[in-house]
Amino acid sequence: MDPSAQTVPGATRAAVLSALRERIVAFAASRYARESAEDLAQEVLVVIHEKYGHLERMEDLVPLAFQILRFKLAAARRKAFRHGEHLESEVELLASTEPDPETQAERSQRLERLAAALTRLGERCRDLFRLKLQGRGFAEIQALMGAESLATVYTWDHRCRKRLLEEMGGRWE
Amino acid sequence: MNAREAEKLLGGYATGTLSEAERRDLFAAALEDQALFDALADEETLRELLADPAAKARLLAALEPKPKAVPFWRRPVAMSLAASLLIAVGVGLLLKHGPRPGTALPSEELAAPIPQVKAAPKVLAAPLPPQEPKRARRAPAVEAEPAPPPAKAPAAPAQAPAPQPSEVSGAASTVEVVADQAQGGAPAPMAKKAERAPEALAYLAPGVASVPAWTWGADGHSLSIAWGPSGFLYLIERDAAGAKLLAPRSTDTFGGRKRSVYQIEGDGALDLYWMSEAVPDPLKLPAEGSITGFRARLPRPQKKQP
Repeated sequence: MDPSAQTVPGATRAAVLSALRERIVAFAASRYARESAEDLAQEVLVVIHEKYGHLERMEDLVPLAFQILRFKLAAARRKAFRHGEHLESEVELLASTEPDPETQAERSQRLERLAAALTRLGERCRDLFRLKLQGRGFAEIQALMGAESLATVYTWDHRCRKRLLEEMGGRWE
Repeated sequence: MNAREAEKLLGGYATGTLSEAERRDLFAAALEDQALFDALADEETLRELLADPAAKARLLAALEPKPKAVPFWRRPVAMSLAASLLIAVGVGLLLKHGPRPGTALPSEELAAPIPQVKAAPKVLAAPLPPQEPKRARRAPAVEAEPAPPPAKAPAAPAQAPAPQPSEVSGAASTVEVVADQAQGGAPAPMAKKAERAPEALAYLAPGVASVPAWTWGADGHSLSIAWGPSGFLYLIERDAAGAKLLAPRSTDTFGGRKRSVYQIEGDGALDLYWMSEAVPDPLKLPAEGSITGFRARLPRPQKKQP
């Protein structure tokens, strides 16, 4: 058992999974198709249950759920495209994370867009992003950039992220 | 932490910048707030992109600060020297060609143009030394603690409670170290030559002080690697079909170091590389021989008897 697990592992895990399910359903309904959102959430939770039953902490379960959800959405998108269902509803194109040539090309394109967008940011945002990519934590960044407080760094980062997202056209895809 | 405050942590999620406490606050808030959850789910695209060491290297290259070119008119020393030179030349010309009392200069001399002052010599126009960047990019060796004796490396850490307590610990203390003069030389203020071992499982360039440590999960497929806090980590699987660069399932910051978790499905040999600089083509990293960094052939966990 993970020695850092909080409170009663079973109860914590169940509560986290319950909340995850609710959030995933709402997210999938807004991004994919409302009628399949429940199925998608169920698929994600089944994977977590079957393959990652040893994970107890929220800090492990939540990011894992995001990764599985992304895979599932990409797979569903590809399946819908093959079946022609893409003509029935608008579905955002989600790049597959499997290393096929199409995915690699999309990833490469996304990377170049991101690199170009970064160069258009102001100096402080570029410095901030560079320090983050170098593996610095926010506390370290506060010291390096001479910020008054940690909250100041959070605010800078929040604004820089929004600015970068705008430069990317509002989406990371 | 409410959703509005937690939203400010979004930018740190994809880059792996968040501390454990910050991650906990962000995830807890996301489970309570749908808009924050949706935004965090959208960050997964960026997080996955940045988890690729090659992509990260590409972006860092784009973000490298360029030395600012200082215009000539903003260099006070150069300007003052140039002005002094002009004054000196002008005074010299006046003394040499100035009118003598009672005589008149021939009209040709009066009409002669003042000799053009040649451009200031290079030494005067030389740019000021560029200011050192405030935050120099530091290789792992410089940030690290004083290097331990080369023959011994730290044991596998328990800094991050891995998803599963490990049964097989890829402790670096079991690794034999071979030191060599690395090409190009990583910053090595404390470099020592180690004895060459007859069989080496790992290679450690001089000056690299703290090495990555890895632990296998009980399932024999989950591999957690603690490394950093800086540098670039590459995991390459080699088998009969060739070499493949593996991407981590997740990378976060824990206890001042990075922790990358991989899901290993193949049976090929696993070569772990930790480099101080980004490598454009990691698949070209050698399986043997000297490199400017750290390399280890990861032992596989023993398979359980049914």
